[in-house]
This record gives sequence, structure tokens and C-alpha cells, in this order.
Amino acid sequence: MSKNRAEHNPISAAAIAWVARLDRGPLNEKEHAEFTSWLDADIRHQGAYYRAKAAWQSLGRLKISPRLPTLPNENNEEPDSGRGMSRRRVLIAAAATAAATIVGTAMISPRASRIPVAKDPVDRADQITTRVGEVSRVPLVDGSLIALNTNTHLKVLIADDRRAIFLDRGEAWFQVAKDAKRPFVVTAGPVYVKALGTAFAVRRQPFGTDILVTEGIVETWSAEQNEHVSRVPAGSKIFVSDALGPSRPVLAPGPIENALAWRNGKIALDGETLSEAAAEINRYNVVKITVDPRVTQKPLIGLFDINDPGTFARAAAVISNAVVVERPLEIHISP
Amino acid sequence: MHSDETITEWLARYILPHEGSVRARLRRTDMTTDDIDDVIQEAYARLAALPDFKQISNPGAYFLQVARNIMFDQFRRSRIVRIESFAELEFLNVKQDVPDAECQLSTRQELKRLWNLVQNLPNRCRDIFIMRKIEGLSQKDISKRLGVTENTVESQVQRGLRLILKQWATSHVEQDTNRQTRGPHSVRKRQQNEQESG
Repeated sequence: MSKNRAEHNPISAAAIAWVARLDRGPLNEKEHAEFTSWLDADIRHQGAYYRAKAAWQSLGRLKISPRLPTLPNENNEEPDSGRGMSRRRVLIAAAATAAATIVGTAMISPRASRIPVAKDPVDRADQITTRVGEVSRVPLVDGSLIALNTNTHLKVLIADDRRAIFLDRGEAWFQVAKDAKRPFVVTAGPVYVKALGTAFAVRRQPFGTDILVTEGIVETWSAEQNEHVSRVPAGSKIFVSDALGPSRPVLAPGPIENALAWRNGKIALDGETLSEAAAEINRYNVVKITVDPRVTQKPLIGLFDINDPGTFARAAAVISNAVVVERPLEIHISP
Repeated sequence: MHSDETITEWLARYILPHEGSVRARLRRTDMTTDDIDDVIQEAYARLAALPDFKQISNPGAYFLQVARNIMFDQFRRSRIVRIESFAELEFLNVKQDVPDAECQLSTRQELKRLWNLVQNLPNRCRDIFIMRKIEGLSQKDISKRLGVTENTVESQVQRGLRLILKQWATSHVEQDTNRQTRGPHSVRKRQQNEQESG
């Protein structure tokens, strides 16, 4: 790793050079001016100077008792060292526990997603439901795969001439096995999404449906406005209104994987405000985060665990200089 | 205002020994090494400006608190905030596992630690440090005794000080109490292992 890490810092190096120079003897006028202007230029210069000076001065204590290094015998020190270790172990154990809490309980292997896979492929007709906070991955008998997001309900019908999914509620991502004889169609309310060798996500909204295409192309239309069919290529998303049909497809913002981070138990924040991020996390949890309107909103980025609203709220509160108030089924962020 | 010497002495004795632990704690966030250097330097400046530093009963915890505040100030100032930095907040919770008074080394241990820092320097550097700090010779006297230029002595002082500060930055109070005799390398290795497993 970085062996010389700390002291490769240029400010620290400059501070050390000044301490060594000052130890040699008084500065001349020019040096003195240089030194003071360096010190005044930046608070970090002052800090680095104090730090280097402290390290240098501390060695002066050796002069008081130059004979000191009669090393204390090791036996006397062992109990101490044992205690030191256990202290560290406690800390490490605490760290491990915290990490486990954050990562979740169902970690299968480092590579595999922690989303449990149903044992038997879903057969011809079946219903699948996820509860709030639950994310599930379900293989279908035709080789396709469905990942269901939180609070989702859908029906699967696999027949000889077609594969039909009815998304009643929530959001799901589909990876479709190629089969030209059996078109794969997702129905969300009046909105149809037809896969053409494709992976895509469909999210049912109150008055329409969001579609995000990760591979291939989908065709989509609304039964209430069915003369307008839109073809949506990979990397794009589209909102299909129940009443008005497809809007214009737009490029998905940011890496498309971000929008599907939920498949791995994460949400990806990419400039969302605190309230937007809280709303997203609330989709996954029974305990809801509420944000006082007076709390500063600031764009957030990063990957966050969907099932850990408490940690999210505390972090967000620190960022916004706010406080967290825990109430039954509610985590309130207040100024 | 207090005299410079007093505050430097306080920093040397009560703050510097905790630097390794504070840095380790900051590394649990996703701050880069440069960010951490910035925070530590600013923390020293703030600590050095404290009018009543003698009232501080637990300097290690106080140091961590100051570093934490600086870090949060920086995050608050930035336009966009990377939230993972705060996911590890629990580690920055001062109440947890602070290098507290109980960990404060005895005078004997402190001196032993300082002695080890000098002992572990490269030979030439170590000799110069012993002459300067233990025998009390000036840089000029040392240059005469060794038959080298004053510039050489000064640059050896720089070199040694860099190595010593590196030690302070990477070692933990609890560990160094007893393990310095096994050499600084083992300490560093252990820290790496912990980081990887943590």
C-alpha cells in the first residue's frame, strides 16, 4: 500500500522543512517574510506546522531522562497487550456487525446477488407478490427471469402461443428468453409492453407506466389509445400514459444500472434531493422517513441500502444540520 | 493567548499520540487520503488556537470531535454530498471506543515510545537525532562533529521528522503501547489487515 502515505502530503513536507530550518538557527529577514506569508496563506499550513513542531518538540523529553530505555520487561506488559487486543477485537466485531446490518442477511456469495431465487421456476400460470421492503428474483419456465421490486404484485401466464405478464402493482425487471413463437407481453393497467429479445423494467404508476429498457427494444402502447405504438431502444425510458399513450422516449439519466440498483438491495442516488431520496427509500420500508420542509435540501449522490432507513436518516440529518426524531413507524428529520 | 511552547507541548503529548486512531476512524468514511490530511491539518490548527486547552479532560476524544466537525463542515459546504460518507457515522460517534483517559500512556510508556521512534530511524538520521535531542548539540555543532555541511544536518532532520510523523499518522495508541519493539512494520501490516477485513 502507500508506505509513505502521510508525509507525501506537500503541505506537511513544507511544514517539516520550516521546522528543520528554524531548528538550525534564526531566520533572516527574507526567510522570515516567506515563513509568515506561508503560514498565513492557509489554515492547513498552520496546522501542519504545529503538528510537525509538536513531533519535533516531543523528542526533547528524551533529554530529561536519557537513560530511560531500560525496556520494561515483556511479561509485565502482556496483560496490557491482551486488553489492547480485546479492545480492538470488540471494535472490529462491532464493525463487522454494523457491516452485516447494512449489507443485509441473505448474502449468498460475493458475486451472487443477495436476492433469494425461488426454487422452482414459475409454471404456466401463477401469481407473485412481494411485500414492502422485499425484492425477489423469479425464474420462469421458459428461461426468462423476473426481478420484483418492493410491494409488487403480478400474474404470469405462459401458454403455447404467448407469454403474458400482468403487472397489477409495483415494479419489475424482465430478462426475456428469446422465443419468436411466443411473444412476451407485459400488461400494466391498459399499457402494453412487448419485448423484442429484451431486458426491461416496468413500473406501474397511478396514471400510467414507466418503462426502462436495458437491452434490445420494446414496443409499447396503451389500450385506451392504441393507434400510437412507440418503439423504445436500450438505454432509454418512457412514460406511457393510460389515457394518452406513450410520450417521447428519453435517454435514461446516468448509468442505467443505477435505476435498477434495487435488484441488489440498493438505491442509487444521483443528485436527488433529501425529500426525493427519502421518498425512494420509503418505497421499501414500513417505517417512513418524513422531512420537515424547513430542512435544507441538497443534492445527494451515492449508493445506499434500501432496508436501512435509520442510518440513511441519521446521515442525511448530519449533512443538513438537522436532527432525527424517531416516532412509531416514522423517522422524522427536523431542523 | 498562551505561549507557543505550552500549546506545542500539549499537542505533542496529548494530541499527536491519538492521530493514528483518528485517521483510522476517518478512513472508515470514503474520504481520500488527501481529504484526511486536510482535515487533520485543520484540526491541529483549531486545537492550537484553543484558549483553554488545559480544561480538556479527554484530548483524544476531543481531537476526534474536532476532526469530525471539520469533515462535516466540508460536506455541508460542498454542493453535492456523497451519502456513503455518512453511512459509517457510527464509527465517528465519539462515545464509542474513544481513545480515552484510560488509554493514556504512563510517562514511562510515552518516553519509551519516543525512544523507539528515534531508534527506528535510519542510522545516520538516528545519530543526528540523538546528538540534537539527547545530547543537546546544535545543528551547527553536529555538522562540525560529523564533518558535514549544516545543510546536510538540516536535511537529515527533515528526513527523520518525516519518518516520525509517518509513524504517528499510522500507528494506534493501544497497539504501540506494547508492540513498538516488534518494529513499526508489523503495526502497519495489522492495520491493513483490519481495514481489509473491516
